[in-house]
Amino acid sequence: MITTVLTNTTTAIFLLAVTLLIAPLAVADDNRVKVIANSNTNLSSLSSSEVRQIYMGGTLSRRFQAVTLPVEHPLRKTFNVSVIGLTENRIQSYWAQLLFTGRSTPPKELSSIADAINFVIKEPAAIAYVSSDTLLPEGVIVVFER
Amino acid sequence: MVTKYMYVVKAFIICSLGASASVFASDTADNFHVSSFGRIVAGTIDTDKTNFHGYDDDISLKTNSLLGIQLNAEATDYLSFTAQGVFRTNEDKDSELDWLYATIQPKNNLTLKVGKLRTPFFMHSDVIDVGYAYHWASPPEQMYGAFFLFPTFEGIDATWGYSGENYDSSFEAYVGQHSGEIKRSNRITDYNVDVLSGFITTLRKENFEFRASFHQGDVSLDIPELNLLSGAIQSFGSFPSTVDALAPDSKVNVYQFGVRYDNLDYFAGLEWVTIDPELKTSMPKIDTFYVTGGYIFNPVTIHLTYAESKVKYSDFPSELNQALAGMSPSDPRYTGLLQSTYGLNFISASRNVDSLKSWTLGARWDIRPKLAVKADVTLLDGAENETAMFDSIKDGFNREAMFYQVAVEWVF
Repeated sequence: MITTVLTNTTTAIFLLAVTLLIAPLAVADDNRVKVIANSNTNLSSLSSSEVRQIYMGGTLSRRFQAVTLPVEHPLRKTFNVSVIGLTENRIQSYWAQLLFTGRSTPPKELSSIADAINFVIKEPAAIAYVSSDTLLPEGVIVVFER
Repeated sequence: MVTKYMYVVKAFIICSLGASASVFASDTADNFHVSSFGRIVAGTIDTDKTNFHGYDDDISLKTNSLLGIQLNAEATDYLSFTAQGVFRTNEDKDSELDWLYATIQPKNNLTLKVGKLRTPFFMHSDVIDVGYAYHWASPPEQMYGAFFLFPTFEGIDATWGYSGENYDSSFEAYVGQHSGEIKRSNRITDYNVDVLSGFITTLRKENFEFRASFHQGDVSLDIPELNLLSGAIQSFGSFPSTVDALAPDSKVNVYQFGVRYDNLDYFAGLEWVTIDPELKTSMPKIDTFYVTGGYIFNPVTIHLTYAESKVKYSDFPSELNQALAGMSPSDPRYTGLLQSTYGLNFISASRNVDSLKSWTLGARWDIRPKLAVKADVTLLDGAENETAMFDSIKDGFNREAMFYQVAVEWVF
């Protein structure tokens, strides 16, 4: 009887531990993004600083057509937090400065990840971010992952 | 010649924008963009003994509220035209086209702009009207409200960018001209900047942004009294130092350095500026800086700023007093020279000395992307024997006031 209780307790603790271990991993997986580019580009990889420069109107942004998702899309928030490192509001006010001084224009906004992938396949200079578990078709390559 | 050339450039840009607009109206042109920004700012100070940048003890919506519209037409991948008009509710400030320029991008890292442009003096100078772009209801007046900064210029601006694996940098140079007027104490002073030029460099690395710049302008003030006094003094003898000190024009050098750090939870920044005229009798040397920081309780940001300016003029040379000391009161020039010294003393006493310290506690609530509400409370603390950026000062005002502002800011 005691053995059964112990076994059940051990099982429960084991299951709890597994759940606690897996849960953060599952959440962490949701928080991962990869940046993709057209496979015909001569680009092999980008650093996180370069991705940030492209999405924040830096000099590099002229060479690429950055694609983003709508403000309400959860992956946009993930991208802002994990790659850009700023809140959506701060990014918006930063872009107001660039737009109204003629320095740069914000990334092109597309409604879904599928649209973003299709755009990258068609546009050699385009780059976009997708969730890490997105299955990628031929015509795109991963240039950055976080 | 330059002015004539700028008229041609302006006419060309307006025609190009018009042509693009008609394309936009008749077709779904993807290369024509309309953007807008606006702000409604209510402000007041807690005393009836002075004004502060257009605010008194009544709540005013007119002083800084405005609506801006920007039209941008891309003619080719390398050429575009931009116009930005600002409609102001403040009757003392003209509603006009603040930006009207052609952009040429011959290379991915080189941008040329020709036309009417905002002068990029400091970190927020060229977006001073786009309140959504910064966290205050208004940036520190000691720096951004300095009375003889030239808000726009007509000329050319070239920006060259360079990016490394871990940083992004830019080098910008501009040259042009500007004319305008200073409104202060119910008096309007016209001024002209024949040659205005500057060089700006920026560096962005990780969450840091650095900006350093140098600007220079040949400023001529239209103050007839200076010429009259100078002419009178010359009629009494040779006083070259005093005559030079009364010259209404001077080369003005402006030095700026700024740094800002941003992350998900907080930001911090400081900016330091020196405005240094070569002749400091009519225009003062101004040393000013601010330190600011804020914490983000998303979507609300709470921030605190300390700002300070120190203003200093040169004294007039003492050669008139030296001449008087060695002159008999019966000398026919004596009375005239004595009155001239009174004139110099009057000019010295009536110069605005705008040293000011201030503390600002503010909040910005980003209601949703592109729409924010702000509230700032500022303690203004000047010296009692100076103007301290206050205007229309009445007797008994101790140069201390609370300045309250609430603003709604949007872009779309």
